[in-house]
Amino acid sequence: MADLETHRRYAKSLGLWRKDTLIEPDVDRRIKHVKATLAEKDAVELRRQAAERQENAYISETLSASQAAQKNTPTYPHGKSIAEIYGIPSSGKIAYDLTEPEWNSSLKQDLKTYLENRHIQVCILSINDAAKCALNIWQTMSENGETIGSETLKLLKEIHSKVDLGVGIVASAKLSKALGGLGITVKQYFDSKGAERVIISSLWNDTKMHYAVVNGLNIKKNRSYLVSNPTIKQLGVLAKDTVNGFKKGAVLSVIISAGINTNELVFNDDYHLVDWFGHVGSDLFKAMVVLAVSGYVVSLAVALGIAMPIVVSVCLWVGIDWSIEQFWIRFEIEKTLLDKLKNGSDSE
Amino acid sequence: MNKITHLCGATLSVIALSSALYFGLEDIYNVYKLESDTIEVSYFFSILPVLLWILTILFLGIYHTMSKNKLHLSQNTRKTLGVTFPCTAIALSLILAFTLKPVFVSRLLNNGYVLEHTNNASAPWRYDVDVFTRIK
Repeated sequence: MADLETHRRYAKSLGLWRKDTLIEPDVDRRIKHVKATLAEKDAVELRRQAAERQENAYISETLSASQAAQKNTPTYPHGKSIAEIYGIPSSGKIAYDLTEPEWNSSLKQDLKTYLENRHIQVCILSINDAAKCALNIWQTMSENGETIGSETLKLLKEIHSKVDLGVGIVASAKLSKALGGLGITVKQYFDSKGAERVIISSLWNDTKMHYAVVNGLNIKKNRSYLVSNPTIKQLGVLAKDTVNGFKKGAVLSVIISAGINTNELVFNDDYHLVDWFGHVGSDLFKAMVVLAVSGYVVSLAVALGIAMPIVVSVCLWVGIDWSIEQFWIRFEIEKTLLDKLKNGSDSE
Repeated sequence: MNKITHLCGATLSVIALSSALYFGLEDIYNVYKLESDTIEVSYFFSILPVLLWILTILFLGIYHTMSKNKLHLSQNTRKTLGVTFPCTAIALSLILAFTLKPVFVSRLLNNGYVLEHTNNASAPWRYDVDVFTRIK
């Protein structure tokens, strides 16, 4: 029974039985079917064996190669990276090498620009060559209308400017000091009878000093004087005297400016009468504006009854002068004036 | 006639001094914003406090002279306008001139500007103008 069951299971495995039913009742055909099934099984088994052999061979080859590689593995010194041993550059070095030419080029360009902006030529000459060079420079300057006269006038203008401002500051400082300190104020006002008066007083109202001697004049502080008082007139501290001082300086500036431009007109072939009028007119106009504005502000301060220290009034004038100068530069008034004059003379 | 003269003086003073105030503020703005390719640096911005003082006197004085209601300033106000304000303004101007100009120059140099040339002052008490240009 057991054998029958075994045979039946075997026949099922060969595909002869299906659901307890014999598929091939014919014996010959059953034998053929069994042979075909067995042949197919043999072929599957052969393929499996071949694959297994191939896999074994691959594994043994890989293993032997790995073993050979392990045998040939070099030993590296401690503390050194593989990149260092084999000389492979680091990423930082690669980046540096890549940007170095551009970086150097930019630095060179910057250095070139810097040096060109501060270029100074130095020439070392023998005495003979120096004399020839000086003669050539002299001739060139003469051709361009630059003479000793123009240099002298420019120097004179500078000296005048310095002396003018310096004398103004020194005089006001000396006057203030003689009157008792830098806090000395001069206040002008109209009394109840309509007469204009002036009081010289100190900011600190010092009780020790009531009198002062300034340039030989006795002045009493905190006392009202008429503005027509000869002592006050000689002292020159009134607002009118301040404005007169501004006027004298402005007139002298214009005279010197005219002198410089006249010298240019005589010696410089490219400098014409229209240029003279343009430059001198601009200087004159500027001086007038400074005078007008400073005089106006000083008058307003007097009208408001504001008494300011004498030294501060000089700063007021400097502030207005700077403002007008800036106004002149920004609106290019001198250039505009010159262009208008040139266009006018050309059209005629 | 007196009114017309006052009007002319007032107009001239207000235009010139207000423009100067604007130019001084513009100098500071230019260095702060760095929008322009060419920036001029001078000491002009430092007189802004003095200019404010002058403008205060100017506007108060114009109101006083032009209007029918005359200003009657108190003693303290007069002292403030005549002494405290100008002295503070001059001190502030000196501090601004000595501290801000080096800051302006270093800011320009650190932001890609170079000194192109210097325009010399036309008088000793005036200021030189340093012209900085942006490197392209």
